[in-house]
Amino acid sequence: MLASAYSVSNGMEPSTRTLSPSVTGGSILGIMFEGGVLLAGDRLGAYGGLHRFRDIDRIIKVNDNVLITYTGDVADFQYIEEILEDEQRENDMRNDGYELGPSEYFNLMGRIMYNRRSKGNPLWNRIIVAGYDKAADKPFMGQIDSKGTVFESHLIGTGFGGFLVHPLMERELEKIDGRPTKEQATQILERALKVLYYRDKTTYNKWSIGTTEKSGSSIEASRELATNWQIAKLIVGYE
Amino acid sequence: MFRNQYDSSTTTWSPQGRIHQIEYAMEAVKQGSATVGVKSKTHAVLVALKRAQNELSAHQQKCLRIAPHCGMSMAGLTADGRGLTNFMRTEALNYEMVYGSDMPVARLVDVVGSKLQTPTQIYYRRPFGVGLLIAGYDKQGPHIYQTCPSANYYSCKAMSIGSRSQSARTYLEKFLDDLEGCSKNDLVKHGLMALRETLPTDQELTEHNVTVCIVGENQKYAEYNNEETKQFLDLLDSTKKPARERAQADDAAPAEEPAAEEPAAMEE
Repeated sequence: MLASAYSVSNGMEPSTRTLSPSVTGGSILGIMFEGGVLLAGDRLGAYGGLHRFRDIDRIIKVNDNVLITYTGDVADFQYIEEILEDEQRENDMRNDGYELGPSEYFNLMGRIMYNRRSKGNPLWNRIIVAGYDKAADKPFMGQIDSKGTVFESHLIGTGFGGFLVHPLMERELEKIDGRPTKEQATQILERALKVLYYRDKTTYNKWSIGTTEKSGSSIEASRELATNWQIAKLIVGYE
Repeated sequence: MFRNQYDSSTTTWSPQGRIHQIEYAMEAVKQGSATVGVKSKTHAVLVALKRAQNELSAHQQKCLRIAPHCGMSMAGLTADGRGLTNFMRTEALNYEMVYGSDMPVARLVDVVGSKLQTPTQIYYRRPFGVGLLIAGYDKQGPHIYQTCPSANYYSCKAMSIGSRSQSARTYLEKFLDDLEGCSKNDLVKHGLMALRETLPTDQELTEHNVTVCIVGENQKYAEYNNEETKQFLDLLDSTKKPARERAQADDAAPAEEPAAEEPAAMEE
């Protein structure tokens, strides 16, 4: 227990667990294609409604086969980032030919998130792990939330991305038989990002796009979407 | 080796730069009955010769499963071996829980090595008196590892430890190049033929005194005892040491055998 500066005459100490997030990261979109995964999220750290930090990295490259990103509290993810870095560093130091792939990191994060939930002090994040699983020779993507719920999916959308844009992407994917090609996935993602930016006021027009494939992972740090706000006039009720 | 004034404690160096207690511990491994490990491109196999204390007792277990993807056999103080196996099982299970995949065998052996080293450097403790052969299969293929009371561990293409194991090693050296391309059954056959070389003249391989363990591609660790070993013993032309070697051994025998036979305090 922390040495308390509060006088505890009634025997109750203040709650020291996270009660609400502070600076937050917004929606994330993830789409699996034939041979890899695309991730996209804006570069915004919002302070409630304020667009406070407009140039933060929300997609991190853990190693050549794993990209991890998040929605939710930025500080909590920075803590997670340290854990991930330590894990990767230890693996690199061993240098014994064994690599940690996306499913290993997915499992690890699942355990950590569930453990925090069980202690009643959750990490206020929704984590997306994406990568290329060398052992199974196929792409991987999964989500872990602050309750420790885990699942794998070929299509992920969190926050507004989940509500609005996930169904849109799904409808596009249904038109394709099997997994889309990288080009098809890119097109679907770009349209989805545009819709997300137009419709979700908490997004900021600076995006990170992460790609992970058998050959490796990369992050395009900062992209701006071309927008045409003239279409606003077509919206009924817009002045 | 003879007694000297530098051998009472594991924390005492001899002037020649040796720690005798560790070397004495390695003698314990040589007293245990033999076990052989071999690997091909796809499988790793352990075979072990089980000893029975007396006619009333069952033949003592020499092999234990660590995880679905690896197992071990031991020579020396089996109680020490069991303690180490318990440790390895916990480590492998913990890795699987955290990472969702099989613990790489090299890393498992590494943590065992660290555990073996500790008592070789602390005053009131003794080295582990058991040698292990660890067989496993992971992303990098099949593995055979040997561990020593000295806490050294070695990755091997094939290995034998225990009583009269030099004869088995000689056999393995002869057939080393053949092992990589072996089928599962041929690999077991080589293991058994190597094990056969370690037999004393009056013994033969039987379904009661042999254990066969196999792990590999699409093959979780499987252990064969008693009737189950018949299928492998049937692959051999004979369960006795080949006649030529037997005759030679008979000539050479008397000096060698008493030292290797049933020391009272040692189990197997």
